[in-house]
Amino acid sequence: MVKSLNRKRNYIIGYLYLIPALVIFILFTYWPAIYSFYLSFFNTTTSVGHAIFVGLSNYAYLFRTGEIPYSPFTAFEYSFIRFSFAFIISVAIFGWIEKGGKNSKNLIPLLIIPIFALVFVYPSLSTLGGNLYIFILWIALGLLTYFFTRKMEFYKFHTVLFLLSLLGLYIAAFYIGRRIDLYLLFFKIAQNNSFIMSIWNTFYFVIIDVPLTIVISLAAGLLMKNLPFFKAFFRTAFFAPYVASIVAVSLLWLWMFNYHYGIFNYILSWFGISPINWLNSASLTMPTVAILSIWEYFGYYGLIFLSGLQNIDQEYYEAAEIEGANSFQRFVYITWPLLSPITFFVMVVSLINAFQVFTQVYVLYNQMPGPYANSGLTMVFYIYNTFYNEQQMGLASAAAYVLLGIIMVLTLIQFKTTEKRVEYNI
Amino acid sequence: MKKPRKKLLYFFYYAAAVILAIFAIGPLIWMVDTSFKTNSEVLSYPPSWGTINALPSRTLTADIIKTRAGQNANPSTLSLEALLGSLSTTQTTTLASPNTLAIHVLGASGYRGTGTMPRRGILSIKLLDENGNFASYSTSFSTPEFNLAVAKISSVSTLTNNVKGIISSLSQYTSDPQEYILNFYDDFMYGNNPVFSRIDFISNLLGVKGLSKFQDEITPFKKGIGPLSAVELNELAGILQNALEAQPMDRIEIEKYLNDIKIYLEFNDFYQSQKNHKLSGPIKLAFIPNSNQLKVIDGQSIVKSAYTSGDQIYITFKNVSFVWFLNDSVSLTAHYNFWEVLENFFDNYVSAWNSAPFGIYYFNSIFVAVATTFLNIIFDVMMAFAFSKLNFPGRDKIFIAVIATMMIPYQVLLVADYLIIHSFGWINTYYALIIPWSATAFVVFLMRQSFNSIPNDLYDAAKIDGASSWRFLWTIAVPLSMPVIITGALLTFLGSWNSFLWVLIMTDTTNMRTLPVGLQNFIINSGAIFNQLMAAATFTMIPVVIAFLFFQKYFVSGFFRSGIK
Repeated sequence: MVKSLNRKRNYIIGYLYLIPALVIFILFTYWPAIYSFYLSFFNTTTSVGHAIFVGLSNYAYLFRTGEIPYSPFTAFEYSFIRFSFAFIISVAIFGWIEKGGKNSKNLIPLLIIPIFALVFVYPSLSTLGGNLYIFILWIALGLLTYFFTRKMEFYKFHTVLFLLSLLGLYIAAFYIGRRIDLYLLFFKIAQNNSFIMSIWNTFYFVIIDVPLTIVISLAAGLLMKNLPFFKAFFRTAFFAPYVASIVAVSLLWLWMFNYHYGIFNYILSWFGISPINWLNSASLTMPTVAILSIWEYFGYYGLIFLSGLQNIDQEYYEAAEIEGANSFQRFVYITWPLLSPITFFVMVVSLINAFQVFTQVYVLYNQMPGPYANSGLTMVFYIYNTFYNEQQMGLASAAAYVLLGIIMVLTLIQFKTTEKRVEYNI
Repeated sequence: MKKPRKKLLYFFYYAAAVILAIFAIGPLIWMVDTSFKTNSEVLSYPPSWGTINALPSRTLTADIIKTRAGQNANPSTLSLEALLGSLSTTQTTTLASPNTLAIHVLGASGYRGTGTMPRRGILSIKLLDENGNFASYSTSFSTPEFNLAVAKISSVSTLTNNVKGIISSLSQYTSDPQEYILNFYDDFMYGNNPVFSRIDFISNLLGVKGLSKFQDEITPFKKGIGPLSAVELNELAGILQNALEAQPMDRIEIEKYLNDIKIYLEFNDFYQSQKNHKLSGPIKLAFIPNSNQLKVIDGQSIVKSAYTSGDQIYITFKNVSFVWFLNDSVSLTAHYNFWEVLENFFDNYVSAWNSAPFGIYYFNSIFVAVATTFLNIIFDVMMAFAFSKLNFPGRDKIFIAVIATMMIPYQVLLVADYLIIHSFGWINTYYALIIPWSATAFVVFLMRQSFNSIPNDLYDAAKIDGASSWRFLWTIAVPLSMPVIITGALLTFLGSWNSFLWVLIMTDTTNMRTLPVGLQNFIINSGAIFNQLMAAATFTMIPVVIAFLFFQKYFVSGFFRSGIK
């Protein structure tokens, strides 16, 4: 009896420790999350107090398509066929490279599939792109290829090359066949729908920003680990941009990107490149913002990589050295696999971070979403604009939930795809 | 065999590290560098590193204002301050007075644009004649000689129509020699469309048929800046004389032009001959703080007073008319002592600081960041400790729920957060900036990792000794996890200090805004004066950057110890 009383007392103490922080999380994170979701089904144009339930129409409004030349289903069909074509041929090529030297049973079907694909299906692609018959055929071929190559690990070593060939074949198929594609359709819709535009811009930014950030910060981390002297200096130098506020930093880059007097164009002129109008070009808006963001954050992620590198047991390297592994091999076989949890962490964090891009655009383009044509309209900018300037709380909440959904889905995909490949340092 | 390869490898490592380091801190250095520059240096291409603000003296490009209109400065265009300054101490001087010389300061030499003068230091003004010597002037003007000269030029009748008109209109000033001289030079040399405007006059000459043979000799005079000088006019007169002797077709036309030149040279000779005193050195003037008056340090015994207005310096002479300096040039050098150089150097900082309420922004930023960090440490440590060392039902589920908030960007919750804070009546208060940020999931996560590395035996031993969990937490667990706690504190401090969108939305008065939003407002209000903008950016970030560079070793070890895996 006393014991259980004592235990209950301990439970209460435990909860008491949680209360202050938990109250804040509940008030400003959990409850707003629920409340936003609730709001996203209401029209609050008149006032929040007199919100009108509108069901899913906020979401429908966000994804309105306007007039489109062909149906999304057709576009999907074409895209899928092209993708599977590119995928099968890529798998075949890389499977063949993998098994190339050896006399393998898998070799024969691997060679047959691309030949079959080229001879029979490829010509029909240009004319019968959207045919259901071919659609089923392609799925069957895809399954067949998967069946024959499923035990091979080519994707592990040639991932980048594999993806590149996939992309190359896809583009080739696009130019050979009819110009119908999900990507094109998406872009067409984006012209009339600023929310779709904002998704487009945000993805464009993320695709430039995240891989480059990871590569550069990994390089920074490796350098900070391996340099014999001046470690502290370089660590300080790399980290310095992260400390500065984004507004100040954006202001600084606003000056550096200046068309007439900016130092960026001046440095380019050393290499004979004529001045680039960084801040007044729709196509350069997102790359410009990405350069700024990479600069700002690479030192921070570099430090996280450094802490991961320091956690790797030195014995592995010593053993490798004895075996005669060179520094490249040591990186590929020891550092990279053992660092994968950190890489994964940085990937997730930088992805979430990249999706929140707002302040840079706000400062660089003088409170406007880009120089013109909404070229700098990111999703957060759209939310801010809808909420703060247009006072449409419901619509802004719906847009926010779409953003959250995209982040969640991408994070989940990352979790799923990297789950098996992340090797934990025990 | 192995050593050289390793050396080469290190060489590449260092090359890469240096490139990355330049990429990282180059922009920051450029920012600080720009913040010390003058306006004209900022708008110069190619960009340069140095700034004349760091030099003890600078040469400013300046011109004597030679036109009648320029000298007759209209008091209505002056600022009230300048007007009052000029009237209060120099009662006898009127602005249009012919004994006031106006000098227009164009800016620092070598740089384009109008540089504003720093209003400090000593100005050394050298008035130089055409040969580069110190200028001369007249103290004893002889009216009879003037009358003689006027009579002489008035007697010439074979003139171009233009000059004829000028001479007849000048006759109204014969009673006032200074006005006469001023208007004479205005019409012939320095005014709007003067007679001897280089291109016009030479084109007119080339248009004369009789001079077609002499084209090759006349054309070169087109090259040059400003109106034709007396020396050039002398040469031209020689050419025209030769042309006349060659008996061409329209002699009269040529003679007219020749006489135009002759009467000018005649009068100019008289003007020069009247100059009987020579300046012995530069005129030295000193700025007086908060005043348009200039203190006369070395007036060369002719300067009575001086003042500035806008880009102009006005020098009032005693007993001497400014007309004697009409065809002189001016060389202007400003000299600064050590303190004045410092003031010049930090000029942009002072003006940026004064042009927006940065003091308030600074206070708000510091207060909000410190309060947020303080609350964060207490709340996060408590929560992390509970997750790590205490047992209660649902502990791990709550932990996962807390960690899950890391995945939700706050922008997603912005709308609802705004409505909630609005319903609390917290808009435009410090509460809105501090309370919602006083617990951070990531910091809880870091601290829990750190507390996990403290053995449970230690906690049990402390319990047996009679220490409460509260006491164990603050006297043993927290000191043991100091690096991680400092890391957490730095992260929250930084997050709060740099927070932008939240502050932008939750506040709309100057009194509640923090530095990032204040800086953004300053950008919009000040336009593109990049030296001041860079100064503002620098002073908003420098304290944090310095503090962080000092603390960064904790940052690394904090991450290291928490062992994100």
